[in-house]
Amino acid sequence: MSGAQRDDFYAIQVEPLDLDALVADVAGPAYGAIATFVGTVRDSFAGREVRHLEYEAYEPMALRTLREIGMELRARHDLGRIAMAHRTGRLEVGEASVAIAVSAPHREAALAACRDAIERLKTSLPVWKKEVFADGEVWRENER
Amino acid sequence: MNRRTTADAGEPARAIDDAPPAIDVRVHFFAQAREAVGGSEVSLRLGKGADVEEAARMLGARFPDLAPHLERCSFAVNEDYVKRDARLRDGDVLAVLPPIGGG
Repeated sequence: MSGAQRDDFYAIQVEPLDLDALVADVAGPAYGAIATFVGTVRDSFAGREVRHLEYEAYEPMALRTLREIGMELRARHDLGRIAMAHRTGRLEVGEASVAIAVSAPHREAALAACRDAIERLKTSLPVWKKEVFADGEVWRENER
Repeated sequence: MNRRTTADAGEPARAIDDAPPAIDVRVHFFAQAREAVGGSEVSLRLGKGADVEEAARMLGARFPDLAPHLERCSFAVNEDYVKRDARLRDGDVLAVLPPIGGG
């Protein structure tokens, strides 16, 4: 399939995510399409008002998992470059928890790979999310 | 006889070959498992050949608040997901992983 001129970018970080930087990172003159996904913190869950979220990661395993997802994407799609970053620590409503940018020569591959990336991340990334409400807190499990 | 022995002063010699084999693993906890244990890492000594299921049983016994969570946890050894019948080896890093919520 496609080989990357530079390494793909994978990060688990405390710092706020920079989508513009991820997009710039995957852009290239051979790639006619860049698809992105950003996950953001919502203000409620099942009618309860969310005060903030706390994310926790098994960092070395999460980085390995992101790299494995990247390899799977390359095996299935003709891609340019991949960049994925997940944040940890305390996040306020509206902040981005995860950002994905994928480039490809053509848009179908970029869009499909971007979608595959977030779906795979949701099922396998060793990251946990605690929702903090005014009257309690819950470690929220992803839907299966 | 060519058996290796321990022979400290004042102690009877004991053949090293007779010592029960044990393995030491490091265990990492996350999310509600970490909160239940009250810490993110412990050491665990197991019999040689022990599997993840046995380690989980020992951890549940050692940390009663952890026990109710274990049924829904997944496990990783050296950063790879494993089944509960996976055998552990000396020096392995075991991770107790509650249902994930990333993305």
